[in-house]
Amino acid sequence: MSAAFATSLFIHFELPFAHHIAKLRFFLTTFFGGAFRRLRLRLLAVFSACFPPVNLPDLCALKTGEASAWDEAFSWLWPTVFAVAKLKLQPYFPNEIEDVAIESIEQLVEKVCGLKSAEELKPLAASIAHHRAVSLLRERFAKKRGEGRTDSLEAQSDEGASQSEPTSSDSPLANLEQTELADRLGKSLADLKPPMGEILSDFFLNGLRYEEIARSRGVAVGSVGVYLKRGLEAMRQIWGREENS
Amino acid sequence: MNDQRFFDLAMKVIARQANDAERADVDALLADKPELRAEFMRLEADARVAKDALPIVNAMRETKGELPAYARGRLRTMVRQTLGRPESAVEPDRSLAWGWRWVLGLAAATAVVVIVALSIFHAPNAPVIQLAMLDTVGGTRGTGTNELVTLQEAWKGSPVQTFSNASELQAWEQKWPNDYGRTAAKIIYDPAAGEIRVSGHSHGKPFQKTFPLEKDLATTLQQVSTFVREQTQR
Repeated sequence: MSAAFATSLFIHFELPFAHHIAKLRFFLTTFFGGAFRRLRLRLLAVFSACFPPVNLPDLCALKTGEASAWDEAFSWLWPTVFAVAKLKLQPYFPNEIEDVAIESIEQLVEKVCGLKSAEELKPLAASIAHHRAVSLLRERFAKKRGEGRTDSLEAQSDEGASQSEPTSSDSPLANLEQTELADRLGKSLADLKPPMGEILSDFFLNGLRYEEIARSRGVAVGSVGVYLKRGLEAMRQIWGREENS
Repeated sequence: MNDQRFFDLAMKVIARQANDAERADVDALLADKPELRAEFMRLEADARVAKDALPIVNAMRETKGELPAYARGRLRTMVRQTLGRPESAVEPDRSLAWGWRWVLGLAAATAVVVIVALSIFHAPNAPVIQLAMLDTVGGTRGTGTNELVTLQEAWKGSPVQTFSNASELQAWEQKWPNDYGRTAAKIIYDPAAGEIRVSGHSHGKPFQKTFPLEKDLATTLQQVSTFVREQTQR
Protein backbone atom coordinates (compact mmCIF):
# COMPACT_ATOMS: atom_id res chain seq x y z
CA MET A 1 0.00 0.00 0.00
CA SER A 2 2.77 2.35 1.00
CA ALA A 3 4.69 1.54 -2.17
CA ALA A 4 1.63 2.25 -4.28
CA PHE A 5 1.11 5.49 -2.46
CA ALA A 6 4.74 6.45 -3.01
CA THR A 7 4.46 5.63 -6.69
CA SER A 8 1.31 7.66 -7.08
CA LEU A 9 2.97 10.58 -5.33
CA PHE A 10 6.01 10.27 -7.54
CA ILE A 11 3.92 10.21 -10.70
CA HIS A 12 1.69 13.01 -9.52
CA PHE A 13 4.54 15.34 -8.84
CA GLU A 14 6.85 14.23 -11.60
CA LEU A 15 4.57 14.49 -14.59
CA PRO A 16 3.95 18.25 -14.64
CA PHE A 17 7.66 19.00 -14.26
CA ALA A 18 9.11 15.91 -15.90
CA HIS A 19 11.63 17.81 -18.00
CA HIS A 20 13.07 19.76 -15.09
CA ILE A 21 13.06 16.81 -12.77
CA ALA A 22 14.89 14.69 -15.33
CA LYS A 23 17.56 17.39 -15.63
CA LEU A 24 17.83 17.66 -11.86
CA ARG A 25 18.10 13.92 -11.47
CA PHE A 26 20.77 13.74 -14.16
CA PHE A 27 22.73 16.49 -12.44
CA LEU A 28 22.42 14.92 -8.99
CA THR A 29 23.27 11.45 -10.24
CA THR A 30 26.26 12.68 -12.22
CA PHE A 31 27.86 14.81 -9.55
CA PHE A 32 26.53 13.26 -6.36
CA GLY A 33 25.83 9.71 -7.56
CA GLY A 34 26.47 7.72 -4.38
CA ALA A 35 25.20 10.36 -2.02
CA PHE A 36 22.07 10.91 -4.12
CA ARG A 37 21.29 7.20 -4.16
CA ARG A 38 21.82 6.97 -0.40
CA LEU A 39 19.57 9.98 0.11
CA ARG A 40 16.83 8.38 -1.98
CA LEU A 41 17.15 5.14 -0.01
CA ARG A 42 16.96 7.04 3.27
CA LEU A 43 13.91 8.94 2.11
CA LEU A 44 12.28 5.66 1.15
CA ALA A 45 13.18 4.19 4.55
CA VAL A 46 11.72 7.21 6.32
CA PHE A 47 8.59 6.93 4.19
CA SER A 48 8.26 3.23 5.00
CA ALA A 49 8.69 3.96 8.70
CA CYS A 50 6.01 6.62 8.52
CA PHE A 51 3.58 4.33 6.73
CA PRO A 52 3.95 0.87 8.29
CA PRO A 53 1.97 -2.08 6.92
CA VAL A 54 -1.68 -1.83 7.85
CA ASN A 55 -3.37 -3.89 10.55
CA LEU A 56 -0.24 -4.56 12.58
CA PRO A 57 0.13 -2.80 15.91
CA ASP A 58 3.21 -0.69 16.57
CA LEU A 59 5.30 -3.02 18.71
CA CYS A 60 7.60 -0.23 19.95
CA ALA A 61 4.60 1.75 21.16
CA LEU A 62 3.20 -1.35 22.84
CA LYS A 63 6.48 -1.99 24.62
CA THR A 64 6.49 1.52 26.02
CA GLY A 65 2.92 1.08 27.24
CA GLU A 66 1.39 3.66 24.93
CA ALA A 67 -2.31 3.59 25.76
CA SER A 68 -3.63 4.33 22.27
CA ALA A 69 -1.48 1.61 20.69
CA TRP A 70 -2.74 -0.89 23.22
CA ASP A 71 -6.34 0.17 22.67
CA GLU A 72 -5.95 -0.71 19.00
CA ALA A 73 -4.12 -3.92 19.84
CA PHE A 74 -6.87 -5.02 22.24
CA SER A 75 -9.48 -4.74 19.49
CA TRP A 76 -7.15 -6.45 17.03
CA LEU A 77 -6.33 -9.36 19.35
CA TRP A 78 -9.73 -9.88 20.89
CA PRO A 79 -11.36 -11.90 18.07
CA THR A 80 -8.42 -14.30 18.09
CA VAL A 81 -8.17 -14.94 21.82
CA PHE A 82 -11.93 -15.18 22.13
CA ALA A 83 -12.14 -17.65 19.24
CA VAL A 84 -9.32 -19.80 20.61
CA ALA A 85 -10.81 -19.89 24.10
CA LYS A 86 -14.19 -20.69 22.60
CA LEU A 87 -12.77 -23.68 20.73
CA LYS A 88 -11.99 -25.49 23.96
CA LEU A 89 -14.46 -24.02 26.43
CA GLN A 90 -17.70 -23.60 24.48
CA PRO A 91 -18.88 -27.20 25.04
CA TYR A 92 -18.10 -27.26 28.76
CA PHE A 93 -17.69 -23.81 30.28
CA PRO A 94 -19.03 -21.19 27.89
CA ASN A 95 -19.27 -18.67 30.70
CA GLU A 96 -15.54 -18.76 31.15
CA ILE A 97 -14.65 -17.87 27.57
CA GLU A 98 -14.51 -14.09 28.08
CA ASP A 99 -12.50 -14.36 31.25
CA VAL A 100 -9.96 -16.65 29.64
CA ALA A 101 -9.71 -14.33 26.64
CA ILE A 102 -9.12 -11.29 28.85
CA GLU A 103 -6.57 -13.13 30.97
CA SER A 104 -4.78 -14.19 27.80
CA ILE A 105 -4.34 -10.60 26.67
CA GLU A 106 -3.22 -9.67 30.18
CA GLN A 107 -0.56 -12.35 29.98
CA LEU A 108 0.43 -11.09 26.56
CA VAL A 109 0.95 -7.61 28.03
CA GLU A 110 3.47 -9.13 30.42
CA LYS A 111 5.30 -10.86 27.60
CA VAL A 112 5.28 -8.15 24.96
CA CYS A 113 8.73 -6.86 25.82
CA GLY A 114 10.22 -10.19 24.76
CA LEU A 115 8.81 -10.03 21.23
CA LYS A 116 10.90 -9.07 18.23
CA SER A 117 8.19 -8.31 15.70
CA ALA A 118 4.52 -7.42 15.63
CA GLU A 119 3.83 -10.57 13.61
CA GLU A 120 4.49 -12.59 16.77
CA LEU A 121 1.64 -10.96 18.68
CA LYS A 122 -1.31 -12.95 17.40
CA PRO A 123 0.33 -16.37 17.46
CA LEU A 124 1.51 -15.77 21.02
CA ALA A 125 -1.93 -14.52 22.06
CA ALA A 126 -3.51 -17.60 20.47
CA SER A 127 -1.01 -19.88 22.17
CA ILE A 128 -1.62 -18.27 25.55
CA ALA A 129 -5.39 -18.52 25.12
CA HIS A 130 -5.11 -22.18 24.12
CA HIS A 131 -2.96 -23.05 27.11
CA ARG A 132 -5.17 -21.16 29.53
CA ALA A 133 -8.28 -22.84 28.19
CA VAL A 134 -6.69 -26.29 28.43
CA SER A 135 -5.45 -25.55 31.96
CA LEU A 136 -8.92 -24.47 33.00
CA LEU A 137 -10.45 -27.65 31.60
CA ARG A 138 -7.89 -29.82 33.32
CA GLU A 139 -8.36 -28.03 36.60
CA ARG A 140 -12.15 -28.17 36.51
CA PHE A 141 -12.34 -31.79 35.44
CA ALA A 142 -9.72 -32.82 37.98
CA LYS A 143 -11.77 -31.09 40.65
CA LYS A 144 -14.93 -32.87 39.56
CA ARG A 145 -13.15 -36.20 39.55
CA GLY A 146 -11.88 -35.40 43.02
CA GLU A 147 -15.40 -34.75 44.18
CA GLY A 148 -16.46 -38.16 42.90
CA ARG A 149 -18.83 -36.81 40.26
CA THR A 150 -19.41 -39.14 37.40
CA ASP A 151 -21.16 -36.92 34.85
CA SER A 152 -20.09 -37.67 31.36
CA LEU A 153 -18.49 -34.90 29.38
CA GLU A 154 -21.18 -35.24 26.76
CA ALA A 155 -23.83 -34.63 29.40
CA GLN A 156 -22.12 -31.42 30.48
CA SER A 157 -21.66 -30.20 26.99
CA ASP A 158 -24.00 -27.38 25.98
CA GLU A 159 -23.95 -28.30 22.37
CA GLY A 160 -22.71 -31.85 22.60
CA ALA A 161 -19.95 -30.95 20.23
CA SER A 162 -17.03 -32.86 21.57
CA GLN A 163 -16.99 -36.59 21.69
CA SER A 164 -13.41 -36.80 22.86
CA GLU A 165 -11.57 -36.04 26.07
CA PRO A 166 -11.38 -32.23 26.09
CA THR A 167 -7.75 -32.17 27.13
CA SER A 168 -6.54 -35.18 25.24
CA SER A 169 -2.83 -35.67 25.76
CA ASP A 170 -2.36 -37.35 22.37
CA SER A 171 -2.92 -34.02 20.63
CA PRO A 172 0.20 -32.78 18.86
CA LEU A 173 -0.41 -29.44 20.51
CA ALA A 174 -0.72 -30.80 24.03
CA ASN A 175 2.93 -30.90 25.02
CA LEU A 176 4.17 -27.82 23.23
CA GLU A 177 5.43 -24.98 25.33
CA GLN A 178 3.71 -21.64 24.94
CA THR A 179 6.41 -20.04 22.80
CA GLU A 180 6.92 -23.15 20.69
CA LEU A 181 3.23 -23.42 19.99
CA ALA A 182 3.16 -19.71 19.15
CA ASP A 183 6.08 -20.18 16.78
CA ARG A 184 4.38 -23.03 14.94
CA LEU A 185 1.05 -21.24 14.78
CA GLY A 186 2.80 -18.21 13.29
CA LYS A 187 4.47 -20.37 10.66
CA SER A 188 1.21 -22.10 9.86
CA LEU A 189 -0.53 -18.77 9.44
CA ALA A 190 2.18 -17.62 7.07
CA ASP A 191 2.56 -20.85 5.07
CA LEU A 192 -1.06 -21.88 4.59
CA LYS A 193 -1.85 -19.20 2.07
CA PRO A 194 -5.26 -19.06 0.38
CA PRO A 195 -6.83 -21.22 -0.75
CA MET A 196 -4.72 -23.95 0.85
CA GLY A 197 -5.71 -23.17 4.46
CA GLU A 198 -9.36 -22.84 3.53
CA ILE A 199 -9.38 -26.11 1.62
CA LEU A 200 -7.72 -27.96 4.51
CA SER A 201 -10.32 -26.51 6.87
CA ASP A 202 -13.18 -27.37 4.53
CA PHE A 203 -12.02 -30.95 4.35
CA PHE A 204 -10.81 -31.70 7.89
CA LEU A 205 -12.95 -29.38 9.97
CA ASN A 206 -16.11 -28.89 7.95
CA GLY A 207 -16.23 -32.40 6.48
CA LEU A 208 -16.84 -31.20 2.91
CA ARG A 209 -16.23 -33.53 0.00
CA TYR A 210 -13.84 -32.81 -2.84
CA GLU A 211 -16.68 -31.79 -5.13
CA GLU A 212 -18.20 -29.39 -2.58
CA ILE A 213 -14.84 -27.80 -1.91
CA ALA A 214 -14.16 -27.38 -5.62
CA ARG A 215 -17.49 -25.71 -6.06
CA SER A 216 -17.24 -23.38 -3.08
CA ARG A 217 -13.63 -22.41 -3.69
CA GLY A 218 -13.84 -22.21 -7.47
CA VAL A 219 -11.12 -24.74 -8.21
CA ALA A 220 -11.05 -27.93 -10.25
CA VAL A 221 -12.03 -31.11 -8.44
CA GLY A 222 -8.66 -32.58 -9.37
CA SER A 223 -6.90 -29.65 -7.71
CA VAL A 224 -8.53 -30.14 -4.33
CA GLY A 225 -6.48 -33.26 -3.62
CA VAL A 226 -3.32 -31.48 -4.76
CA TYR A 227 -3.99 -28.56 -2.40
CA LEU A 228 -4.72 -31.00 0.42
CA LYS A 229 -1.51 -32.93 -0.19
CA ARG A 230 0.60 -29.76 -0.29
CA GLY A 231 -1.16 -28.37 2.74
CA LEU A 232 -0.57 -31.50 4.79
CA GLU A 233 3.08 -31.57 3.73
CA ALA A 234 3.43 -27.96 4.84
CA MET A 235 1.86 -28.78 8.19
CA ARG A 236 4.10 -31.81 8.55
CA GLN A 237 7.10 -29.54 8.02
CA ILE A 238 5.87 -27.19 10.69
CA TRP A 239 4.47 -29.60 13.25
CA GLY A 240 6.43 -32.71 12.30
CA ARG A 241 9.19 -32.63 14.90
CA GLU A 242 6.76 -33.10 17.75
CA GLU A 243 4.93 -35.75 15.77
CA ASN A 244 8.14 -37.71 15.22
CA SER A 245 9.06 -37.54 18.86
CA MET B 1 -1.95 -46.31 -8.99
CA ASN B 2 -0.08 -43.06 -8.67
CA ASP B 3 0.71 -41.25 -5.41
CA GLN B 4 -2.02 -38.66 -5.82
CA ARG B 5 -4.68 -41.31 -6.40
CA PHE B 6 -3.59 -43.20 -3.26
CA PHE B 7 -3.52 -39.93 -1.34
CA ASP B 8 -7.05 -39.03 -2.42
CA LEU B 9 -8.37 -42.45 -1.48
CA ALA B 10 -6.54 -42.38 1.85
CA MET B 11 -7.96 -38.95 2.59
CA LYS B 12 -11.48 -40.10 1.92
CA VAL B 13 -11.00 -43.11 4.20
CA ILE B 14 -9.47 -41.02 6.97
CA ALA B 15 -12.26 -38.43 6.70
CA ARG B 16 -14.85 -41.21 6.60
CA GLN B 17 -16.05 -40.04 3.22
CA ALA B 18 -15.07 -43.16 1.29
CA ASN B 19 -17.69 -45.52 -0.05
CA ASP B 20 -17.35 -49.29 0.23
CA ALA B 21 -15.57 -49.64 -3.08
CA GLU B 22 -13.01 -46.95 -2.24
CA ARG B 23 -12.39 -48.46 1.18
CA ALA B 24 -11.89 -51.85 -0.38
CA ASP B 25 -9.40 -50.35 -2.83
CA VAL B 26 -7.37 -48.85 0.00
CA ASP B 27 -7.43 -52.06 2.00
CA ALA B 28 -6.24 -54.00 -1.04
CA LEU B 29 -3.43 -51.55 -1.65
CA LEU B 30 -2.26 -51.64 1.97
CA ALA B 31 -2.28 -55.39 1.90
CA ASP B 32 -0.47 -55.53 -1.39
CA LYS B 33 2.17 -52.88 -0.64
CA PRO B 34 3.24 -52.82 3.03
CA GLU B 35 5.25 -49.59 2.46
CA LEU B 36 1.95 -47.81 1.82
CA ARG B 37 0.74 -48.76 5.30
CA ALA B 38 3.40 -46.50 6.84
CA GLU B 39 2.40 -43.75 4.47
CA PHE B 40 -1.25 -44.23 5.40
CA MET B 41 -0.43 -44.04 9.10
CA ARG B 42 1.57 -40.89 8.51
CA LEU B 43 -1.37 -39.34 6.69
CA GLU B 44 -3.60 -40.24 9.62
CA ALA B 45 -1.19 -38.48 11.94
CA ASP B 46 -1.08 -35.47 9.63
CA ALA B 47 -4.85 -35.34 9.65
CA ARG B 48 -4.86 -35.32 13.47
CA VAL B 49 -2.43 -32.42 13.45
CA ALA B 50 -4.57 -30.58 10.94
CA LYS B 51 -7.72 -31.14 12.99
CA ASP B 52 -6.02 -29.83 16.13
CA ALA B 53 -4.02 -26.95 14.69
CA LEU B 54 -6.26 -25.61 11.94
CA PRO B 55 -8.98 -24.32 14.29
CA ILE B 56 -6.40 -22.20 16.11
CA VAL B 57 -4.84 -21.03 12.84
CA ASN B 58 -8.30 -20.05 11.64
CA ALA B 59 -8.98 -18.30 14.95
CA MET B 60 -5.95 -16.11 14.25
CA ARG B 61 -7.67 -14.98 11.05
CA GLU B 62 -10.84 -14.12 12.93
CA THR B 63 -11.73 -10.43 12.78
CA LYS B 64 -15.27 -10.41 14.14
CA GLY B 65 -16.06 -9.74 17.74
CA GLU B 66 -15.88 -6.66 19.87
CA LEU B 67 -13.94 -6.32 23.08
CA PRO B 68 -16.38 -5.75 25.98
CA ALA B 69 -16.08 -2.31 27.55
CA TYR B 70 -15.38 -3.66 31.02
CA ALA B 71 -12.55 -5.75 29.61
CA ARG B 72 -10.95 -2.71 27.98
CA GLY B 73 -10.78 -0.92 31.32
CA ARG B 74 -9.29 -3.95 33.01
CA LEU B 75 -6.70 -4.39 30.27
CA ARG B 76 -5.74 -0.70 30.34
CA THR B 77 -5.08 -1.02 34.04
CA MET B 78 -2.94 -4.06 33.36
CA VAL B 79 -0.91 -2.14 30.77
CA ARG B 80 -0.40 0.77 33.15
CA GLN B 81 0.71 -1.52 35.95
CA THR B 82 2.98 -3.62 33.77
CA LEU B 83 4.45 -1.25 31.21
CA GLY B 84 3.51 2.24 32.28
CA ARG B 85 5.98 4.26 34.29
CA PRO B 86 4.70 4.51 37.85
CA GLU B 87 2.78 7.73 38.29
CA SER B 88 4.45 8.45 41.58
CA ALA B 89 7.91 7.95 40.11
CA VAL B 90 8.05 10.04 36.99
CA GLU B 91 5.02 12.19 36.34
CA PRO B 92 4.85 13.70 39.79
CA ASP B 93 8.55 14.52 39.58
CA ARG B 94 7.89 16.64 36.54
CA SER B 95 4.71 18.15 37.92
CA LEU B 96 6.42 18.76 41.25
CA ALA B 97 9.27 20.53 39.51
CA TRP B 98 6.84 22.66 37.57
CA GLY B 99 4.87 23.30 40.76
CA TRP B 100 7.97 24.49 42.54
CA ARG B 101 8.90 26.66 39.60
CA TRP B 102 5.49 28.28 39.78
CA VAL B 103 5.85 28.80 43.51
CA LEU B 104 9.32 30.23 43.12
CA GLY B 105 8.21 32.49 40.28
CA LEU B 106 5.25 33.73 42.26
CA ALA B 107 7.42 34.33 45.30
CA ALA B 108 9.95 36.29 43.26
CA ALA B 109 7.23 38.38 41.63
CA THR B 110 5.61 39.03 45.01
CA ALA B 111 8.95 40.07 46.48
CA VAL B 112 9.52 42.52 43.64
CA VAL B 113 6.04 43.97 44.04
CA VAL B 114 6.48 44.31 47.81
CA ILE B 115 9.88 45.99 47.45
CA VAL B 116 8.57 48.42 44.87
CA ALA B 117 5.48 49.14 46.94
CA LEU B 118 7.55 49.73 50.07
CA SER B 119 9.87 52.04 48.25
CA ILE B 120 6.89 53.96 46.95
CA PHE B 121 4.52 54.02 49.92
CA HIS B 122 6.71 53.60 52.94
CA ALA B 123 8.81 56.47 54.22
CA PRO B 124 12.30 55.51 55.35
CA ASN B 125 12.96 55.54 59.06
CA ALA B 126 15.96 57.84 58.95
CA PRO B 127 14.76 61.43 59.46
CA VAL B 128 15.77 64.20 57.12
CA ILE B 129 17.80 66.77 59.01
CA GLN B 130 18.27 70.13 57.39
CA LEU B 131 20.64 72.66 58.92
CA ALA B 132 20.71 76.38 58.41
CA MET B 133 22.52 79.30 59.90
CA LEU B 134 21.41 82.92 59.77
CA ASP B 135 24.38 85.15 59.39
CA THR B 136 22.95 88.67 58.89
CA VAL B 137 26.10 90.54 59.82
CA GLY B 138 28.57 88.37 57.97
CA GLY B 139 29.97 87.10 61.26
CA THR B 140 33.26 87.57 62.82
CA ARG B 141 35.98 85.80 60.87
CA GLY B 142 37.10 82.76 62.76
CA THR B 143 34.21 82.62 65.23
CA GLY B 144 31.58 82.03 62.55
CA THR B 145 33.68 79.41 60.89
CA ASN B 146 34.10 77.53 64.15
CA GLU B 147 30.35 77.64 64.80
CA LEU B 148 29.66 76.37 61.33
CA VAL B 149 32.05 73.46 61.84
CA THR B 150 30.50 72.67 65.21
CA LEU B 151 27.05 72.69 63.67
CA GLN B 152 28.24 70.50 60.86
CA GLU B 153 29.91 68.09 63.27
CA ALA B 154 26.66 67.56 65.15
CA TRP B 155 24.84 66.15 62.07
CA LYS B 156 27.44 64.84 59.71
CA GLY B 157 26.11 64.33 56.23
CA SER B 158 23.66 67.19 56.39
CA PRO B 159 25.01 70.30 54.74
CA VAL B 160 24.56 73.61 56.50
CA GLN B 161 22.75 76.29 54.53
CA THR B 162 23.87 79.81 55.39
CA PHE B 163 21.43 82.69 54.93
CA SER B 164 22.26 86.34 55.12
CA ASN B 165 18.71 87.62 55.43
CA ALA B 166 15.69 86.48 57.39
CA SER B 167 13.25 86.38 54.51
CA GLU B 168 15.35 83.88 52.62
CA LEU B 169 15.60 81.80 55.74
CA GLN B 170 11.88 82.04 56.28
CA ALA B 171 11.26 80.83 52.75
CA TRP B 172 13.65 77.94 53.29
CA GLU B 173 11.99 77.16 56.61
CA GLN B 174 8.59 76.84 54.94
CA LYS B 175 9.86 74.52 52.26
CA TRP B 176 9.76 70.86 53.19
CA PRO B 177 10.82 67.82 51.22
CA ASN B 178 8.20 66.52 48.77
CA ASP B 179 7.79 63.37 50.80
CA TYR B 180 5.75 64.90 53.58
CA GLY B 181 5.20 61.58 55.28
CA ARG B 182 8.86 61.24 55.92
CA THR B 183 10.15 62.47 59.28
CA ALA B 184 12.09 65.69 58.89
CA ALA B 185 13.52 68.39 61.05
CA LYS B 186 14.93 71.83 60.34
CA ILE B 187 17.55 73.14 62.73
CA ILE B 188 18.25 76.84 62.44
CA TYR B 189 21.04 78.45 64.28
CA ASP B 190 20.60 82.21 64.78
CA PRO B 191 23.73 83.58 66.41
CA ALA B 192 22.31 87.09 66.53
CA ALA B 193 19.29 85.93 68.54
CA GLY B 194 21.46 83.48 70.50
CA GLU B 195 19.14 80.61 69.90
CA ILE B 196 18.59 77.41 67.92
CA ARG B 197 15.13 76.88 66.54
CA VAL B 198 13.93 73.42 65.78
CA SER B 199 10.85 72.64 63.76
CA GLY B 200 9.76 69.50 62.07
CA HIS B 201 7.24 66.70 61.80
CA SER B 202 7.26 63.08 62.63
CA HIS B 203 4.56 60.60 61.56
CA GLY B 204 2.47 63.53 60.45
CA LYS B 205 2.71 65.36 63.78
CA PRO B 206 4.57 68.68 63.93
CA PHE B 207 7.03 69.61 66.60
CA GLN B 208 8.82 72.84 67.35
CA LYS B 209 11.14 74.16 70.05
CA THR B 210 13.58 76.99 70.55
CA PHE B 211 16.81 76.38 72.46
CA PRO B 212 18.57 79.49 73.84
CA LEU B 213 22.31 79.34 73.87
CA GLU B 214 22.87 79.09 77.61
CA LYS B 215 26.39 77.79 77.97
CA ASP B 216 27.96 77.21 74.56
CA LEU B 217 26.90 76.07 71.14
CA ALA B 218 28.11 72.49 71.50
CA THR B 219 26.14 71.95 74.71
CA THR B 220 23.01 73.42 73.18
CA LEU B 221 23.44 71.34 70.06
CA GLN B 222 23.53 68.21 72.24
CA GLN B 223 20.22 69.26 73.75
CA VAL B 224 18.84 69.88 70.29
CA SER B 225 20.09 66.53 69.09
CA THR B 226 18.45 64.76 72.00
CA PHE B 227 15.19 66.58 71.36
CA VAL B 228 15.20 65.78 67.66
CA ARG B 229 15.98 62.14 68.38
CA GLU B 230 13.13 61.95 70.85
CA GLN B 231 10.72 63.56 68.45
CA THR B 232 11.68 61.50 65.44
CA GLN B 233 11.81 58.14 67.21
CA ARG B 234 8.32 58.31 68.67
